[in-house]
Amino acid sequence: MLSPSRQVQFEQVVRAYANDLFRYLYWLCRDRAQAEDLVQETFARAWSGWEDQRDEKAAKAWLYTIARREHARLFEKKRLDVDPDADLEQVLAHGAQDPSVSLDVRKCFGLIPEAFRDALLLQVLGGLSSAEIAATTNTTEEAVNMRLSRARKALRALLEGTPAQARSRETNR
Amino acid sequence: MNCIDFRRGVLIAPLQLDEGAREHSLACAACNEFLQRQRELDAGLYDAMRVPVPDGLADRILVAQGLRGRQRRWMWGLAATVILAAGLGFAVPRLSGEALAHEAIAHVAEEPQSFRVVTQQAAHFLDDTLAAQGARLGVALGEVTYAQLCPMKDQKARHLVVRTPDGPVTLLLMPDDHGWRRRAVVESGGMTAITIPTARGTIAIVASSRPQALAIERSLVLS
Repeated sequence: MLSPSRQVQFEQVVRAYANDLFRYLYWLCRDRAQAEDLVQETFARAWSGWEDQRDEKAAKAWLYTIARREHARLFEKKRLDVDPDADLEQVLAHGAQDPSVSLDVRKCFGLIPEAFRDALLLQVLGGLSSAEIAATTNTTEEAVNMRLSRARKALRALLEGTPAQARSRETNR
Repeated sequence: MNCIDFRRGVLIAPLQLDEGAREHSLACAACNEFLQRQRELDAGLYDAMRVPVPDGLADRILVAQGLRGRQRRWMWGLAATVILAAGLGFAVPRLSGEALAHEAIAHVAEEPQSFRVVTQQAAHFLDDTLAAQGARLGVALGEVTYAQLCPMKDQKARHLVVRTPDGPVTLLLMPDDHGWRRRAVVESGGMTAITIPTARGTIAIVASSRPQALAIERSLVLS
């Protein structure tokens, strides 16, 4: 049985992170009901491991790791068909070919390949550092930084309707 | 630091500039503009990511883990434990409105460019942003001249500068601040900060004087 103070801490963690974990999972699965089930499952697993979780500062990254794992478990078969590093240039070319289509940020964000979107979600929404994202996604910090950088370039290109190469030139000026 | 390294860093983490990057952004107008544009994009991205959350989500999670029932039965025991834990320094450090007010002052001091940069906002931008936290203006404050999404410890804050007749005032809007805060007033470094708990999160007012900060607080109507 956990001590009452640990239970209070868990409740504070639930209240602090449940909303953003729901949003994170929503963007992974694009289904609100599924996202709620997943966030419930995430906290169920977190609760069962809470006794061993002593580092309060690491709790957030730990929760995102569990959430990501729960999503992967549910969508295991689906994920096998997805290339997480799909070519961004294809996406950008598609977005830029039809300037009459008004793409807002949410739509553009949805067009970015999963691995890039995931890194941005974990940083912008979750507030995780590159090192924490690397640990959560089981990759290197350099790979995370590359994904963050390319994702932002892609978003800018999609939103401003300019080819990625032009944005890249500007960045490297 | 050169322009290429600066922009690479901005594309990786536009809200986390080190000292060298900060100095470069102050010295290079083109890179500063690049940074502001990226921060605006990130602010839009953050808003886009924040899809509506089902009502009562956290409560349902707690009920599912059986924590709600236990909490009622052990209410007095838990209350005593929280007091004890606070005394021993184990409480979650988000309880203090004073700490947040100090943090707000430090944040404003670290971003002097927020008073120089002027970015035009939509007419109802301030009303809409406040409404998202369950607040509104009783009287018009003035024009919003700066709006950025900024990191504040483990959360994001909407950093606004409003040009009032009495001078610029900073509002830090934190809809995701879940601490059980009380109102706090802190004076430090020639600035006064007031933190106000709202229906959703916390608002921090940072002004150059206590009367100015209190005047802004009086103009806010909380639901």
